[in-house]
Amino acid sequence: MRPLRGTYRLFLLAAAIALLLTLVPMPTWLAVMKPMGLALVLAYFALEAPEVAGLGHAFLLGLVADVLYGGLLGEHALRMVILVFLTLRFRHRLRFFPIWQQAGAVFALLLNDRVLDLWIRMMSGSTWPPLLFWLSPVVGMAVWPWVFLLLDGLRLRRRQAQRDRGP
Amino acid sequence: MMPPGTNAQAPLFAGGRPGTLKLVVLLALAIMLMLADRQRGFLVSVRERALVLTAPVYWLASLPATIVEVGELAVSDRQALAAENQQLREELLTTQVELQQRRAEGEAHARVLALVEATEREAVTGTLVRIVDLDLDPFRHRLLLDRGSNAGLARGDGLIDALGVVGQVSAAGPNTAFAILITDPNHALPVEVSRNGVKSIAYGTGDATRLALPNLPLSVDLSVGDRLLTTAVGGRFPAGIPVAEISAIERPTDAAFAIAYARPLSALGRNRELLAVKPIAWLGPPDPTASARSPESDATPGHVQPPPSTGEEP
Repeated sequence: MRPLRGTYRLFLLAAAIALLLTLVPMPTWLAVMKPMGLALVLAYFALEAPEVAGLGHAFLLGLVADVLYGGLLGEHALRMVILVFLTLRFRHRLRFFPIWQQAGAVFALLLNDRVLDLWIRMMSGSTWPPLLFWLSPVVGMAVWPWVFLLLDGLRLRRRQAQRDRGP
Repeated sequence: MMPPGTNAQAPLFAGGRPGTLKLVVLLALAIMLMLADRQRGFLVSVRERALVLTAPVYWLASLPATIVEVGELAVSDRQALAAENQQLREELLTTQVELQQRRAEGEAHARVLALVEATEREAVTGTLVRIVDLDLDPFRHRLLLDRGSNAGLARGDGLIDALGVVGQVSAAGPNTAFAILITDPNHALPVEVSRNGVKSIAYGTGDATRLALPNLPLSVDLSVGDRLLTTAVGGRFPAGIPVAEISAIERPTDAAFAIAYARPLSALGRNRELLAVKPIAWLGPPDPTASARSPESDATPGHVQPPPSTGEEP
């Protein structure tokens, strides 16, 4: 069980960092295209280590995001659960995609997430957001390979270290 | 970890295969939470309690900005500071002179008002709060403040800056508080036109540069450039604080009502310091039922269209 625990710790750490980074202030023009960090982290772990990133965790982390960002409670929870569900559903196909194609799939996931977000906004009486609203999934797609490689590297190194230490 | 397809340990944490039942349960739970949260005020206490836990996170996330600010202060040279100081002094002097004049005018005005037995205007007092520099959501109109109930802030307190009304406190934790801006779609604010006293309600549109005043009579006496001030009707803000300036008026020939748009005058959170003012209890809207619910909304009762939500986000 040790490697699992290591991955679990990495998962929580990555999610915490993603949540924190989203909060860090930026100039407005940068802020509007900020990708949804938590979504990327959840997508990665749902793809590569589904035993740590289940629907339950997606729900809980989404709730944490809701509390942190002061939005409607349950909004991020709903969005993250759907994102992770879709990732898990198509996991076996997505995993063997080359990374650029995977980025395309992540774009679709993030776009879907944005549509859900819009839907929830509309339900709570908001008006149609500006066009820039749709930029975030594109940026998410662009950073996906780097997020993927970074998390993969960390995860593999961690496992290597554990293998060296353990029997 | 292990080759794909041999997830022997998978079921330990929520399984590798998506459980449809689990999905349905979690989605239902999330939707229930959202509905409960929409129901005004139901989850506010939960959220206010959660602010205790999240305060360190905000502190951590705003650390880079704080460091930059402190660093800038440390390296900014004396001369620039002296120049700024000089400029501020001059501004203070000119505004003080203006203030003296206004005070004299105000006294004269008060004497006239006393003659006609009108109510006295309350002096504005409040708590100075700072905005925590954080990106909560670039497309929403929310702020995080560095003061909470320990400093006397409470839900419903109005927020103003030097230029006008900014928003309201929507949830107050012990040392932090959330606020919504007047441009939030869930916000409505009673206003009056400074030129002629025409009253209306300014709704947020979700667009930081405009408020909407729907349901105006087609014959309303309103023109572009008119200034909107707060009224005492909502009971949240002292009367006479600038809110917005009319930027456009639409009088559709095929509709029963005209709609006007206004540009907010305040810096809407781009100012770091705000003044939090207490609701004026004795000026609040009349209690419509006096039994079921206390009037928490900032919107005047009896308005044609009910606001999307009311005065503030739950």
